[in-house]
Amino acid sequence: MFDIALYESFRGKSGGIIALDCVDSTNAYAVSGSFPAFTVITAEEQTAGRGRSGRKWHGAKGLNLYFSIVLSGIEPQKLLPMNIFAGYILADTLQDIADVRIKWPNDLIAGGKKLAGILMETSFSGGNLEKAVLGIGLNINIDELPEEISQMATSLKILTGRNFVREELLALFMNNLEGKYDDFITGRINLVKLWSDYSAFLDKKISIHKDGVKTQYTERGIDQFGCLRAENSLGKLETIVTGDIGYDFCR
Amino acid sequence: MDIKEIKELIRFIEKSDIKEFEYENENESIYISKNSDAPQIIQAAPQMQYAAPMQMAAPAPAVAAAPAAAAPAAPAVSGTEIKSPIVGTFYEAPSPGAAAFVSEGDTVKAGQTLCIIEAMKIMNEIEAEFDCVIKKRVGMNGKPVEYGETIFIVEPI
Repeated sequence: MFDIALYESFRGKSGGIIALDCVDSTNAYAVSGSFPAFTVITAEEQTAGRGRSGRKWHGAKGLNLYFSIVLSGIEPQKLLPMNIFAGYILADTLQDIADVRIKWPNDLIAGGKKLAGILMETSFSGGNLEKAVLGIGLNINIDELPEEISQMATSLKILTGRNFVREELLALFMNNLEGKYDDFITGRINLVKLWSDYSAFLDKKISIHKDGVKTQYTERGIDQFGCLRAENSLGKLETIVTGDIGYDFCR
Repeated sequence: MDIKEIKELIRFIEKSDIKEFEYENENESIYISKNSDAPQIIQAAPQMQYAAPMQMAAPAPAVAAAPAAAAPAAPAVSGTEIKSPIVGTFYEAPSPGAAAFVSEGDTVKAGQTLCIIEAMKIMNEIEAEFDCVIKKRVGMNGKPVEYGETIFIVEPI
């Protein structure tokens, strides 16, 4: 079970965390309640944890981290940059452990495989952004992944051979996030520049799936809004923001 | 402007004191800069598609309280339009194959989720601002919607 007291000792403050054993989705739980900013909801198991397109994040009780964070003070136009910022904070937090990089918009990649996934959820009432939560699944101490995903996914244990204290990693992440949050909100963090340091595929060939068509591009970073800049085969830059976009790379 | 002319232009600018040069006509534009931090040459620079995300910066539209005179996408249905607060992809259900959040004819309460609009993997749940009856679902499942585009036509209760 998640040790709240241990987490609080690493975090340097108490409270602000709800550790659940089993929940449908920590994001859904966080969105549906009224929690103060930076409240963390963790769960050992999610029965309906979701990724994009409803794909399930492979769960393993007690080995990994599945958590959501309640965000505050975000303007709608900051949502897309926030998505990038979250990936940067997680990659930055894990830098001492492994060479962790970001695949647009915010999958974490290490050793060519997916280490963590981030999914933001918000609720709008009419045109007003009411709530925003950040959901993260991070593979930590799992050392055996099912065959069908072992080609694509990894964990800190698989990468390093070591076990990690989940409570410590979560506290490090939260301290990093909270420490840089105001700078992000007030525009003092240059995500475009940080992207070039952390991207897994900058200037590399990528393929983007959109509306069922797979097209080859070269990644050219992000713009100030967090949108991907991709150069097509004719050398023309395109800005990728939305649509049914999958994103993988050519081996 | 052909490559020879461009080369000549570059040579001319190189020898001059001009730091930056920009020229534009109907078909092409050229920008040459001697500032090292600026791009050297961008010819026929395409209009970058900044429009989409910038739209999010615009103030969110208030959903009209009074019935709209005419719904452009579906003229046959009258009612209050609910518009998309952001650019993204419209989803009628929480996951593929799941039941839709709402169907036409449903009565929904304020705060009930109507749909999800996804952009850059951010799942934005769009909730009803007031109690209403769904008269028409205008957004198409899995299709893009623009900022301000009508996604539902409802009848306030």
